[in-house]
Amino acid sequence: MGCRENFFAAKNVGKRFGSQWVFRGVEFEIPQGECLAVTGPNGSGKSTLLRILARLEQPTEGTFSAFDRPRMGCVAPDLNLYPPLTVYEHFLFAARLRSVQANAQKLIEMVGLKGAETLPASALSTGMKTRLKLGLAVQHEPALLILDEPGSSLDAQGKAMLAEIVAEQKRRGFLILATNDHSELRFAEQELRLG
Amino acid sequence: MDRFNALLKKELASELRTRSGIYSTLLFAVLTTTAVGFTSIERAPSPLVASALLWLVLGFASVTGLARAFIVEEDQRTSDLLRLLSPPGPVFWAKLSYNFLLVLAVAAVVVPLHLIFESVHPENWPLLIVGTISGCGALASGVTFCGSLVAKSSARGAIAGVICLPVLLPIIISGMGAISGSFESSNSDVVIGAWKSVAALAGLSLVFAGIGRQLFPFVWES
Repeated sequence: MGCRENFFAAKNVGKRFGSQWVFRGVEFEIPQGECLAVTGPNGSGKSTLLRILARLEQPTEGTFSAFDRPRMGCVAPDLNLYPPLTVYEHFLFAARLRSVQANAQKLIEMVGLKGAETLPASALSTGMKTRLKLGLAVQHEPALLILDEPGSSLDAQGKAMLAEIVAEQKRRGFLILATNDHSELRFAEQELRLG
Repeated sequence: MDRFNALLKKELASELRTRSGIYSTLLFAVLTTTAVGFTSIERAPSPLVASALLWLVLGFASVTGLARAFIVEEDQRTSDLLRLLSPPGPVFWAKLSYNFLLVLAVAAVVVPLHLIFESVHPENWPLLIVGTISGCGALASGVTFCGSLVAKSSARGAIAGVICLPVLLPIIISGMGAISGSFESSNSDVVIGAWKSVAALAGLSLVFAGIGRQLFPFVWES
């Protein structure tokens, strides 16, 4: 899983469920400070590829630059929050597991959840949950940020906040974004089309 | 240690707010204890039968808490978040500790009820208390071990039944030996045997916790 320093790369990555290949031969190389957009129709394997890069799933074949999980942040629609825990408790919980400063108030303000700190995740709207996930994903200033259709449930204010997070991540490390929203393609220097 | 504390606090906070595990487990335990108690109205059961009934209730009550260990993380689809946040070790120990507290809470209700309904009188209280606590530890270890193995399977119910049987059977048999000894302290051989059963329970706790901890990272990453 080697790669050149300051580059995030994948070589010949493929994933098969049963006898059905979802994708094969995925290759890319992005330098630090750039964003790779993964696009493609539904079922083309965008989310699966991102789960592989986040090391939540194993590829059937191929290699890629492997980051330790503590150095990654991830936002995905199927990455669920703990329903009984409040917004504030999620930041404290994640910080203690990551052994970093919680910065809860700062992050809550950044993602626009001020006033919702004491709400349990089960009481949040889909957009608010995405905001909370974004806050959790960047809490530890990750080297690699993986975003799976982050803007699909965000309002205009949320999308502006997302643009700030993207800009900050590009200053810090690598960014991979799966999207079908053409307005989000402006974040990316490279595009990988699946399917 | 900070990770373990955070994870255990999360388990307890989730339980205290939803009360899904403790209510269903207590409901089962109290209902079965009461129903079994009615069978003993006319004649008190022998110490061995009384302890067997107690461990059957505790054993099955702990299995109803099985889902709380790891399966709930898969069902709620929170396991990915947990995998991103924590290495497997603290997760396993926190789940085991939560299960131990849950089984202990159930035992704190069921054992006194059982003594009342079954009209059995402990003659060796230290043996009863230590036997119950070590049995709860063994049940928690066994259930956590089984839960960690089956959580990611699509056929959890069937596999859990197959795996739980050989795990829980020695625990229940040792538990019977420990508790029945506390009901008849006049026979020193029985008491010595009972303390050996307590040691067996402690050993089973360590074995299942140890094997579970070793296997869990492979399941966690699969």
